[in-house]
Amino acid sequence: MGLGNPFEDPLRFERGAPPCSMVIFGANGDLTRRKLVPALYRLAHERLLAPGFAIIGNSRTALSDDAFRAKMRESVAEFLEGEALDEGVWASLARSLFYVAGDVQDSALYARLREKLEQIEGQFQTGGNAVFYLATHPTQYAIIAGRVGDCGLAHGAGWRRLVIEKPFGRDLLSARELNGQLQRAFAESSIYRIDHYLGKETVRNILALRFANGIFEPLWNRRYINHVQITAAESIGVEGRGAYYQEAGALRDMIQSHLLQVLATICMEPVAVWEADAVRDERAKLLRSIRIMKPEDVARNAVAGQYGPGRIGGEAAPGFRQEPGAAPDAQTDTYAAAAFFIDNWRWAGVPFYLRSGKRLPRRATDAVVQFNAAPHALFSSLSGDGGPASPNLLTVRIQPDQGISLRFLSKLPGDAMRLRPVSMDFNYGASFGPRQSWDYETLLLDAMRGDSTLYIRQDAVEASWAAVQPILEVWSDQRLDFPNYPAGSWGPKAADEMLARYGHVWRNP
Amino acid sequence: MAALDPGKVVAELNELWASLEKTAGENAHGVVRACALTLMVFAEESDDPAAIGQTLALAMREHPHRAIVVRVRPQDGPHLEHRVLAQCWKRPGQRDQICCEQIEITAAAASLPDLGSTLVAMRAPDLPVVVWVRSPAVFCSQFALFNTLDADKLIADSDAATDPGTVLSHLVEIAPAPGDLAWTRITRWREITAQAFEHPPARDAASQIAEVRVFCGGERIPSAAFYLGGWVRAALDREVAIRFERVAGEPIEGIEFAGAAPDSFRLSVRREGRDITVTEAGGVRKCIGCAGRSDASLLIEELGIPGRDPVYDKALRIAAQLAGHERR
Repeated sequence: MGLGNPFEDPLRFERGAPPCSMVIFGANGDLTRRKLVPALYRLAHERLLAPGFAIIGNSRTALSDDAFRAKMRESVAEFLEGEALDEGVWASLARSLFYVAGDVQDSALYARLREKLEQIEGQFQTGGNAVFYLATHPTQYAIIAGRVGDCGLAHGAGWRRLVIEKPFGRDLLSARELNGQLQRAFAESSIYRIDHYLGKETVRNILALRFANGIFEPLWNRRYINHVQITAAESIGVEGRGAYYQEAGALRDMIQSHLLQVLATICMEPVAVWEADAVRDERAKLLRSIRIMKPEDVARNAVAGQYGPGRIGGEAAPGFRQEPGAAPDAQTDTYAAAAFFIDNWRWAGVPFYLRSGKRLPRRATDAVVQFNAAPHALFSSLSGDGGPASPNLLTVRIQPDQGISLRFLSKLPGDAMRLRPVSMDFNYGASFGPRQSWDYETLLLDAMRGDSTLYIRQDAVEASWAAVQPILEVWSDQRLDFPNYPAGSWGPKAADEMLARYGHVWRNP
Repeated sequence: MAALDPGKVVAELNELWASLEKTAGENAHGVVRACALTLMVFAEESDDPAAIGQTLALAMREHPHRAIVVRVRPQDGPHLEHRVLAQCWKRPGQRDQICCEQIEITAAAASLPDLGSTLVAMRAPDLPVVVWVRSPAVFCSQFALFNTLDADKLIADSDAATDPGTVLSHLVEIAPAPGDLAWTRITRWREITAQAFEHPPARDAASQIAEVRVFCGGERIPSAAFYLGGWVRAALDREVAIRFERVAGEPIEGIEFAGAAPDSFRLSVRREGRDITVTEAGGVRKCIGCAGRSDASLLIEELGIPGRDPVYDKALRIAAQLAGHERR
């Protein structure tokens, strides 16, 4: 509900979307099929879409509205993750699906889109509101935004917003260039850059954990926190995306975007008010506080890896260079790890270790906060275990099993004062039931409602590129000795050595 | 009356968990003991136990709780009976079972006033306590008991009451945060009405509303109608005229908003089969998904708001007044 509606009831009415059209470029692609339309269906199922909502799909393939609807129905049924498709809900949503074929470089396409938008505006009473969702290859972002702007579609009777997916450039320079191109058509306040990690319940819950509880924040600083590890491990390889991944790599694909956003969420200062710009200001401020590595520091603080052939679950797994689409001498980092430091009063001297890799032993994303040991090891001579090797850990499990655990030492029953680490666990599924919003549901709804809290602003994008830029430059200037870890292992030895230099070890999920 | 020892009941719960864990261990899966609140349920002995069990089983999935179900026997019985059990389920793709515990007590109505401290001793410590009184008769006759349970919230169901006004006035007075499934049943009506006022012309015209007509079915004006009227007046924060019009059909059949002048603003939200239709200045928009809701779904919504609900509190006070006027 917008401002001024006397009948608002924020406790009861879920945050519904206002009437609008959503134009999806790349409507025939994987993102639309796997994520966007299933998420929109779920929003419809939860009655969070306005009666005046319509989708206009676009791609080059010629399709009728009905063929597009049939295709999307198939996708929704396939990607509902075990939920049954409600035919009534689908039938209602399907009536709002339209399709306009055309090449995004062709100005005539935008004339047809304008005509369709005007028709829908009358039919669905959208008030002229429209979201342009670019589910296309990133190289087309500037072209589409430019054409939308040139054809006058960036402004209308209602609001107009542009949504794009990462990557936002390939490095700092190209990110700045892209931002400039997008801003020629849309104001920064109308550009919504998605990092779907920020839509994940557990990532959002980090802010609740920190700022809604009195016990954590007093400890949340360099005096009590020893270091933080953020891991995004995938057991799969590039799954046919070898050609794309060859251009991206783990540092660009995961660390620059998702993991630095998680880092910012863990480390940002509290906001005075829960408002989009206040949250985004703090997140961007934190990212700007990351110490920029000097080229000579990169070898000490960053490790690139690429998987070679190995075995996973007893089966042979190919190396990256054997993947379809990957070059036999590819220099792609399928694994990246880096130690970052934040130069501010709260975090000075605390290392933040970020790593992401493919073909690791299991799929798991988590952030582990390790606290300093008790100042005096009172029980170490009596115990033999549970000493410094078992520090207190606060683990935020982001996927697949979302939850939070706190590890602490406890006395084993019996006469002797023997200690053992135990864990207090909070599990989302056990506490809140099986139904959880998907990240794309949250983010799409927010974009329609004009809530940009979970979207990344230009300054944050540029700050996160600035943090990894020296690593990118050093790595691109040298020939990396790949492959350097077998598929199914936890990454290259050099990553263990990097932590060992700081007196730490990786905690594998 | 046989005494009910809370310590013994808790010990029985622990035995139950030990046995669940043993069985789980034999079958190579784990058991998670899930509990985020205590839910005390008061029902008449004649109330369908299977329906209560089903409702609690569904509610537990979203709000895991220790359920204490008190079945009230109208006549004096020789014993206060109890048993403990667990409700378990598995999430798709997961091996571990998630289980919630349930204590069932059968007690004579006359013994209820003495049961308060025993029930308080059986709640899960340090977690919110919500009381759900399914029967309006039990709610009205045992009203004093519910103030002694240290509950954070009390949920009644005034829909089945012969005199909804009494239930509403008790809810105004009760110490815990009040709730009423009759109010929860109109969430969809309110939501659609609010959505209709999202449309800029309607929102701009809200200040012109002079009269509201609530169309209701049934033999008497249902509490849902008083709530709808109370909510509108509270939302507009002024003395608009609220009129109740009796029609055939469901407890709520529609609501209409009109300005003072004949040609001024008019907006109608009416039931049409399974749909609710919004009509404004000649334009018609249909909304779907307005089928009746299960008790479990209503309870889940209420358990999602463990404290005071300011919108409901305001609507309740006015609804109780409206019910009082109608009674006179």
